[in-house]
Amino acid sequence: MPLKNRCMIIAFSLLSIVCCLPPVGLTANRKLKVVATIPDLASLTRAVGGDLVEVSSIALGVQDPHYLEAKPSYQVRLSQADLLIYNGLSLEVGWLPLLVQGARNPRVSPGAKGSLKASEAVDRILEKPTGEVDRSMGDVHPEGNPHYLLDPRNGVKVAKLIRDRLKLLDPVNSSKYDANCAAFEAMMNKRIKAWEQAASVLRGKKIVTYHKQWEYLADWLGLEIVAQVEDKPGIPPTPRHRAWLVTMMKEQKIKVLLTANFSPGLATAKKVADETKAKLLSLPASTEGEPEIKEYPDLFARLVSALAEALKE
Amino acid sequence: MKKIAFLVSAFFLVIVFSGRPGLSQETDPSITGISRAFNPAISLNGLFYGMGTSLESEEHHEDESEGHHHGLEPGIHLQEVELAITANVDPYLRADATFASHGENVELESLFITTLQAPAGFQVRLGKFYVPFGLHNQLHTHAFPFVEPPLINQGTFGHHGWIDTGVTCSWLAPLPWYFNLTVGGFGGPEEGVFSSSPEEEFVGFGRIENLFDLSDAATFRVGGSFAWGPAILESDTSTVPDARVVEQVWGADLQFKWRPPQFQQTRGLVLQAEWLERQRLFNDNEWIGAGKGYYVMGLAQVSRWWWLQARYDWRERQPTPKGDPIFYQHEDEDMNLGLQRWSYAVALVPTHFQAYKLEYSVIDHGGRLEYRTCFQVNFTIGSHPAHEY
Repeated sequence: MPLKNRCMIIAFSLLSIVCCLPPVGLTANRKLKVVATIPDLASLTRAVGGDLVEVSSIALGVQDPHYLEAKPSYQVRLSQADLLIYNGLSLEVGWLPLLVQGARNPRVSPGAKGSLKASEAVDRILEKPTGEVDRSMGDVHPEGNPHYLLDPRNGVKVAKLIRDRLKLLDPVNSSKYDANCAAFEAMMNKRIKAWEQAASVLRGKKIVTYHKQWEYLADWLGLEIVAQVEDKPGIPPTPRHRAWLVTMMKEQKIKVLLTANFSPGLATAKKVADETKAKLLSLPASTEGEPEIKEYPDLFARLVSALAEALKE
Repeated sequence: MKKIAFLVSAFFLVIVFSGRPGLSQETDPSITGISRAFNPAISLNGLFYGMGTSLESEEHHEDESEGHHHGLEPGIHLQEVELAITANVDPYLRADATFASHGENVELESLFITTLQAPAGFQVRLGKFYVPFGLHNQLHTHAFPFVEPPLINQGTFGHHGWIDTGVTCSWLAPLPWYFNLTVGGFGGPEEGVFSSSPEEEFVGFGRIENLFDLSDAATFRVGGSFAWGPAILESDTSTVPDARVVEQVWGADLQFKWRPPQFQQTRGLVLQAEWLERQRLFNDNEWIGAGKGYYVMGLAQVSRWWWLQARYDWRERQPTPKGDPIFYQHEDEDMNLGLQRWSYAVALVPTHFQAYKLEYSVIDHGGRLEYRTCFQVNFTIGSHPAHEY
């Protein structure tokens, strides 16, 4: 038999064996390794999992999670994970599929128990397009606005979803996950009330944002976002849109222009704010977005106080 | 006759339209058998270029016929249109296919399956695909950083790179850094090195790749590739018989990438170098060089839309296979002068789905200089899989 044929037989045999091998299961008596795509999800997992989990986040708090590069080193992290938690709604579509495929870890492959889409916990997705979408509309997310974790009430829902998945993967410690989650929920509910009270002055106030990022925050606090600096999501504004925006902001006496501190359009936002004499608020949009924001609740303390301070008059 | 035709037409119309719709039209796939839910992701990439050269038309074609094939022609042309189709076959396999055309025929560029569930960090790929030899050979044409591939890749693997039918098995080692080992076997490509591999033989391939995170912003990658296989060197003289040789290609690649997390959309730097050497074994004991070269390039993102790029590349001149196949490499006196090229480009990238490149190159054809200016337009529609890091 020619060498080439022999090699082909060996290759097909290898492929068949590899495909038929069962996925590697979880090993008992060790911490669950959890990889979250964004720091908010990592923080929620820490809150629920406590010392039973080892959590890391792929994106940093100062990074725009839309535009990460699929570094092979992230694949290494995912290759060793028991659980992958991702935001969903196409937030990570540009890089997560490459990582999951490159990680070669059946435990976190799509549909596996170790793959959790956090958006499943959220019952009210904002800005879900009702008609056809195409790229002439900019970076539109066909499933809706993916920044739902900027409403802390959604954070509580996601924490419960994470609790359920941790219990499924590690049933021995179910009671601990239940207790941790209950404590987190109680703490958050208390703090949410306090934040809502502090933010009562914001209700009905109009602001402009750079990107369609703050809709859930505004929905929670009763802020009215009247326009974005970006004409279309993810696309820098045209001069015509900018001129319209400046006029509109002056007419409506918009006092605050809100942008994420990682936004690529900070310079543009600053120019618009200068022209309209609005206050430019460049704020963290994620846990670890500033050194003091170590956990998820810290983010809202910072956002509410900054907005209340800027819009108090 | 007309009456018969009328009656037949009327009969068909009655048959076709006589069905009475129910209260609601049933569209459930379980009854219609038609579903779009599992359609694959489809995308189309268009690539056009315009090229002007200081060479006269005759000189350009003479240069091409001498084997210094650069792929591009003066004027405005379609460089490539690529249709990519991707989907998971089932929980165990993913399939990718690309069809490419350069203006005339549509060819199957790649078609392969990749395992999704293999354990212990293994992944098997089977089919026709870009062989992961080095860094540049893994890129589709629309992802090239410059309009043309590096001279050494072009000279070794042909203008379209080494695309081959075979199988690879790669292993991601359980180490703190990215360490990936790939081995494989291929049937021999249609152009470039190993293209004259006898059908019953195969080409062996191996690659080791390491990537280290230097910081949140910077990575350093180092890789080595090796391939070997038999080849038949055809002689065009009646006195010298065809020679059966073993060919091997070595490659080494280095890459440094920097992209600050907070400014990842507006700042970035890529420094990359790759070296390739091709050798032939004669009489089972004598390795003779059959071409080597390298490129060094730097790509700097200076704002949200703009990139500045530069590349220097060099390779030994590839002589035409005339005369004695054993010695022809040394007959060409120009060979040691080599080919070298300096390229400078400005790229405008408004979104992930369109890019424009203006490139100026100086090519030294062993003492004779050529000046080239290229313009390239690149766009993508549909759901295109993300590119590797």
